Amino acid sequence: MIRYLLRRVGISLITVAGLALVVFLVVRILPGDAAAARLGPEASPEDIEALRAKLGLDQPLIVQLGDYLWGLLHGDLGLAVSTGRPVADELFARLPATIELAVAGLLVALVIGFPLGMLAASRRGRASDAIARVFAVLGSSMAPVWLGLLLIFGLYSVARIFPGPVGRLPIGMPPPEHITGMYVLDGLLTGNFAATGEALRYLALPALTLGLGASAAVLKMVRSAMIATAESGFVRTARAYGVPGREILWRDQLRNAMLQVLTAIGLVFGFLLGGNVIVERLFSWPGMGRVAYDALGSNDLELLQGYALIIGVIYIALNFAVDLLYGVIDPRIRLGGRSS
Amino acid sequence: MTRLSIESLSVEVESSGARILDDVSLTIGAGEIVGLVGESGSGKSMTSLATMGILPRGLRATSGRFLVDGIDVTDAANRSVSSRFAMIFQNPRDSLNPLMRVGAQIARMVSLHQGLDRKAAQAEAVDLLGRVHIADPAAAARKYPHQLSGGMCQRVMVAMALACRPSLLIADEPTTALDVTVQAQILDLIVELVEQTGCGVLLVTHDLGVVAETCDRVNVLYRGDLVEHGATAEVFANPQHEYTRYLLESGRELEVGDGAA
Repeated sequence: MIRYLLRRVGISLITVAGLALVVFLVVRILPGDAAAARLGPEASPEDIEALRAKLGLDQPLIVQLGDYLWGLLHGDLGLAVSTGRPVADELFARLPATIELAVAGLLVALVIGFPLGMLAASRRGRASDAIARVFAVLGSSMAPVWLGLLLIFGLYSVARIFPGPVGRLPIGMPPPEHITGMYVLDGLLTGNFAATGEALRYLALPALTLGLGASAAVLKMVRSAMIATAESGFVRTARAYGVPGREILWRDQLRNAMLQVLTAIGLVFGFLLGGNVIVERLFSWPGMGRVAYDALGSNDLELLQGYALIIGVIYIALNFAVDLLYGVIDPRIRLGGRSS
Repeated sequence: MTRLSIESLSVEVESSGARILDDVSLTIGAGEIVGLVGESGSGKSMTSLATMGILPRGLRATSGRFLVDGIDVTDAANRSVSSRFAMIFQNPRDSLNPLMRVGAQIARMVSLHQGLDRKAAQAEAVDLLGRVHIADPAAAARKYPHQLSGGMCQRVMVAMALACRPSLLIADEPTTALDVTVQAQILDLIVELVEQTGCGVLLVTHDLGVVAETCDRVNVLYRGDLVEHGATAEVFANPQHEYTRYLLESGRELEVGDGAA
């Protein structure tokens, strides 16, 4: 297990280094002079040259890379041109909102996708399986922006069940005391249940928009993993020996199926964190995706670069966490040795 | 005494109605090892799965009665528990749950079939591992299947079968996936347990050598039909059906071929 762990840590670090390199190079390869772009069309050549020197852009690429990596090691992602504040501050201030939304979306995806996937697997070939699969195709093929608009129209404009797309809390309501930056959690921690309740109501529609699409992926993965384990030798043994069906389902099938499903959940969560730029925009959700969207509009490459890097690092950290969980669940990884 | 008799078992594919088994009948006496031979797809494994009451999805038995010690158990909801059937399979490691310690897997069958509590079942599991000649059974009980060899896993499966105090053991190609030396050990173990417990064994195999060594009687299955049955020595010496002769000849050819190589 120690060796497995060290290996995973090593692989993760190498991947982070590779990611930093790619992000750095992509921004440098993009056409145009960053200094000229920042100063605008009215700038004099002297000013541009001065800024180039200040930013280190007149240095050889390898020196720039060294400066960039050195900065990264100290948590310095550079300055956001559009706001003049450090990129790290801009993004980390918005990170809790993004995480809160992604976690809520993941919960929606799991609550819908998991039971439906298990149901579809156990009733393979029957009507309920067909309905679940149609749902899966619909869920994965519907664009989030369209689904989000439908939900806003149905559940806000018409039914008035949930609030409109104006952010995380009612306008004018102060957020709960800052502990994690996630309002639902902070409200609970500080006993400010009114804030938690409102935060949940405002979270509902964007989380549904994100989660419904993702639930299709969870459903498909759970279904195929449950079918694979249903046909496995150890389930046949348990059935042959008269182990009750319920126990087979929970103790044999589900635990073994989790080995496959965990990977999917890690990927879905990563997708929910990094892929919700449009949903954040649609619901005026002040998360990192919004920052990235605005950075794109204002040509703020430093900020975009920071966004790509942070999302990438979160992805890698998630994969690492999934690998760790594998070790916990699967004795073949935990104990090593002969494998079948 | 007849441990198990299968009377006119027929199995077909639900969707197409294609016959997998046609009117198969056979009996197994106490302490008797009965072989069921045939080529791949002849219906050997389906006979054993139908007897255990676990036909795969999409197949159904259209006729057939199962009698255990003279009692009709055809409609028994859970044949393994009610009739003390046990089964071991071709790939022992795949037949064990990779995420559970083997001791716990045996103990689970012990508590299911003998009604013992958790602690007593664990102790019984270790005891059973000793009975199948696993050295240091207490240590083995704490292992996961991937830490054991194929032969050891098959011993664990046999111990699991013993946990049912079986009146009938169905062994479906129990040695096919194992090394030759391990094969002989597992067969010896099965023979030994039959002598100890007096249970009947249905040994499903395509290996005529295994049949010749261990089986008292043999049934030959060909495309879902039982084409020949009788005492092993008689059938081997004087095969009546053309397919049996063909099987025996191809076996001999293989032996000659092996010798030359």
